[in-house]
Amino acid sequence: MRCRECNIDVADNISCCPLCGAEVFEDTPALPQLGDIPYPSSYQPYPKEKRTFTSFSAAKYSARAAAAVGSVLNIAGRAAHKEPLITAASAMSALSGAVSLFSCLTEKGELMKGSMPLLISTAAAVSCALPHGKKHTVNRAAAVSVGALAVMNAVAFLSDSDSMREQYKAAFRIWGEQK
Amino acid sequence: MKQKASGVLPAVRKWYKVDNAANMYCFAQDKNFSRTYRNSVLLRDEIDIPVMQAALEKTMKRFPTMSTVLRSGAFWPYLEHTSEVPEVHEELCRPGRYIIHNGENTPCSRFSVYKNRLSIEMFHGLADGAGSTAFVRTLITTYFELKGVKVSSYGDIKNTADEPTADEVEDSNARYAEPVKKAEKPKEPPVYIGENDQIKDYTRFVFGRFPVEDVKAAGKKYGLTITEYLCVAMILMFIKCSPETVSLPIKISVPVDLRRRFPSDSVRNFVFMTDVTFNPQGRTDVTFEDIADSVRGTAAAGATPEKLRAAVSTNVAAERNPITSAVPYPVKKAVMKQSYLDMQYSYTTILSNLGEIKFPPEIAPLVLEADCCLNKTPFLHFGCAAVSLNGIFNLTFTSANTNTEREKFFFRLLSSHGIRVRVDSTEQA
Repeated sequence: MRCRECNIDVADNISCCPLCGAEVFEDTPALPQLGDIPYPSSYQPYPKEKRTFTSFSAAKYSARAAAAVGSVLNIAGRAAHKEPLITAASAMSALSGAVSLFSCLTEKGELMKGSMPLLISTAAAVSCALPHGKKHTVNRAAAVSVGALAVMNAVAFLSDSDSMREQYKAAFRIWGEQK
Repeated sequence: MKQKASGVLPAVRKWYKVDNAANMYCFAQDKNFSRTYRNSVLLRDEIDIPVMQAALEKTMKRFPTMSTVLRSGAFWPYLEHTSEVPEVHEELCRPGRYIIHNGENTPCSRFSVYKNRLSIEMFHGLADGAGSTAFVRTLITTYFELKGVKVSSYGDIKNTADEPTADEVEDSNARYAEPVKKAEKPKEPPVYIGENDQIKDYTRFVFGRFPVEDVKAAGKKYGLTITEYLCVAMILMFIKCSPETVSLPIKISVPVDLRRRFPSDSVRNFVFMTDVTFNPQGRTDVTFEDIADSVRGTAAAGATPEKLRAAVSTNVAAERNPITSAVPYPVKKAVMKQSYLDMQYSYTTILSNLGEIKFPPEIAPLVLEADCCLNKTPFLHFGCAAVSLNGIFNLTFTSANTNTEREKFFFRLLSSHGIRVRVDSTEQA
């Protein structure tokens, strides 16, 4: 079939030109070797996309980073007896906790991956909440808490059970030899 | 220059860095949009879906970067390898749907069959047109092998019996980047965009097929290459079909496959956008010859090895900047997404010419045609992609509305230049 208005070949099964809408006529095609491109005559509507929170990894690593920064501020504040530093540390830990909790609650079926940052941020928050002053025992407790946090981070990093190390490497784009 | 990738890292990994050219697509995607494109091949006989599924499973193993899901890291997006293979299904929905990365194991590609046509929709973050063409060639060759066709020589087609190589999964942008001095980027003037009257969940493809020899001869008459000829026709189309006078420059963005300039076996993104621009300055009496005289040679001039290497180096330097790297992912995403949006208004449309696709001699008669379509984006409501197979050039216009004025003008113009044209559409006028 051909459209005389557009001077083009068109499919055999149509009655009007796909470009101008004019009636098409049976005529010798200019390109007889070309056939129809099959497409359905009607379509189903698009299925609804499953929508979930997309930045689990970013949330988890941000939570860990916030907990780590909070812990450093906490220790520094206690060493220098600076109240504002400890307040800032508490805020960082609280932020870390909120992000971790959100990540943990929304990441269905992967509780372990979500719960590790939550544990870490809890440790950071506990260490910030300990009373500060010149009592060495309390500050030591804070230091122990932060130490526990560091151990948990290390365990998470070294553990290969759920590719945590790979996740870390990927998340931080540390480029090295991989398994 | 960096060392060649061979032997540095294994080809099959648990995760891959998103390559430099694809970072933008990964940052720009969200729950409503992702940059995708569609490759289709029309076979002589109806497609056997279970055999195609088996061929896909073999091919996915050969192209490890294609079987990945997009993830967000603390600083950068990355691709995580998955052993899950997408399902080859019958085409039921309108083509051109976005591939949404919802944080789960959503594959970055979609495979559908309708009668004897296989369509592959792919997230641009995985591969460019040349990379996906390499994938399609292997997939179709493997499909016919499983159907019992003996292939004597693979040529440059990647054989599923071979292991993937590190060169194939490398980021060639990083390999060819050189240290750059900071240079001020000149501010680009605004360009003609046209009205963006999109219909929700609607994409129409208009396929124009014509002999390569015809378009080559028509271009030769004006001293233009095929791509330049098509760009000139498109520029004239925008001028003549615009409801108001066009006083801004019309810029056709043309992706250049960098593999043709810099040796690379990468099947990922290794492409750079150059452009063909013409400013009608409010004139409505512009002729094809006027535009041809103005743009002749500009596409080639903008794609010299020196210019391309400088552009690639600038992009890679921006990525390697320690300050940029230290910015957390959510902040980086917000900034990059905005710059992607700004970029969308820096050109009128895209003309992506993938060049010629070849199959082994035993398979070539079984593959009738191929086409490539750009999927619409919230910003790009009208685009164009082209590919040639068996001496037939297939140029596809993607549109997000029912208006066919531009396509009508374009194909009538080609026809008036003596090019034999056949037009098909996914929708009737």
